[in-house]
Amino acid sequence: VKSKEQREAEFQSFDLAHRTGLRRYAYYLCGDWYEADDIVQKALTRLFGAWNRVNQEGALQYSRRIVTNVYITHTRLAWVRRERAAEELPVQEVAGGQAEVELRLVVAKALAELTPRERVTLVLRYWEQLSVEETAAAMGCSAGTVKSQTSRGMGKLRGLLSATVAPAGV
Amino acid sequence: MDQYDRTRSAFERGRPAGPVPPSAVDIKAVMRHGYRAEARRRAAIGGAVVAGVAALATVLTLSLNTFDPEPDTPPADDAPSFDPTTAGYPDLTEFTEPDAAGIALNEASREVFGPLAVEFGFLDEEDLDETPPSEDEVISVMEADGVDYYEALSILDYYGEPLQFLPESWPAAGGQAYLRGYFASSGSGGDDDALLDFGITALQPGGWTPTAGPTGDVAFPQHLLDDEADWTDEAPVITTEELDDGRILMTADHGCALDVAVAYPNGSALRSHWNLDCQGQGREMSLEDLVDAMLLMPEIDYDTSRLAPVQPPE
Repeated sequence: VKSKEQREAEFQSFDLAHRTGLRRYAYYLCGDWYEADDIVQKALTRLFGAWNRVNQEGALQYSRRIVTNVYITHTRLAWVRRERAAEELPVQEVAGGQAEVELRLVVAKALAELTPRERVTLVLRYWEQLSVEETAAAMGCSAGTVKSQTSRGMGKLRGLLSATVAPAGV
Repeated sequence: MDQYDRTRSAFERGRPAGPVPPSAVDIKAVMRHGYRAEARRRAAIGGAVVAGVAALATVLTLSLNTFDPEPDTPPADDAPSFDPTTAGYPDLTEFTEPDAAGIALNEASREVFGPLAVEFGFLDEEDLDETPPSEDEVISVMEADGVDYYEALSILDYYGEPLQFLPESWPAAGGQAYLRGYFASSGSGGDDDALLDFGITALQPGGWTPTAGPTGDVAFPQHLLDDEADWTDEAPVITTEELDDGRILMTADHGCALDVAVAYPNGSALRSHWNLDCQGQGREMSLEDLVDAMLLMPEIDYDTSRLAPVQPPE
């Protein structure tokens, strides 16, 4: 059994190495840094509560899985519903050239139109650049489901981004 | 470059690229709350065993004997020799054949929850018009495309339909194992609005107890019903009743939403949440209406061949 000091030191090392990546992933999903921090805080709390039972080599994969679950649960929480009833989902920050900025805004808006699971699938596959198997592990579903969610999500995006991705477009 | 590639390329280039702002995550609070969560988990395990609320485990291990006309008959081969509440599944499910449990769940779900959802305004009758493809059609796609059962359903455009149960798994015991089950909602594979309306979860045996407590994967075994404030700022009123046939009925009344769960003698469970009026929808389904429907759902036989005890931490 690890001592309290050893456990906390290990966990703090993990936090130092991976918190930024997890926050970015949560932000990709929800589009808001405050909510992303809340998601990651909850996910890290769950992770620390289970730290003695977590396989260290799989800790990052497991933490990504928890972030995914917390995010999906967040879509049900009362305060999130209230926030969303009050205002549109926040759009992501702008940086770079005008065309890039416009593309990011359009993509952010389109992503917000997808179901949470479709959103998670596309973010993991194409923004986090995970394989189908890694995405399945992060979502707790089969590889087949990842493929079908990807197909479904991309189909919806195709319609939502049609003007942007037209042959003569960006 | 085809349409798919163009969409993918645009999506990849649309990834947010700005700097990551300073973190508001409080790591000391994380660890402090983590210790508390761990203490709750230990209390849950101790409580489940000591207070006998792990009736599910007892039923699972003893029910065969209870109904066995010949007491000397050895336990059936499929009777677990371990406590299923502290067990889990080692990996994710691949459905290389038509999923008999899923098919049975879906048939019952349409029959039982279909009329309920229509009567109380959760679905329109035409939402249930879509008929599932035949088993032959699904098998034909599975063989032709080399895909699993649910991917074949997706190819046949029957996926995420209202009240359609789809397989899911949830991490447990610090990621050492998974709980397995199915989830159905008003459709679209669980989008925000669908989750806000209603959700029905079928849980396979293993890794949970018919108790109320914080849900999610911190506690192991996990709790069947959430006893925390969720739909409103008030914690729900929870009831638990053991029925004569060995089922355990649990209800949670949130005021504007209802949760009902049924744990079955074979160790499986069905749990559902229904949002009646939390956003002013004005739906008037009573707890009795929901309980009646939940009790009409059959006990489903699941494949528990890969259920195995979760090793305690060294």
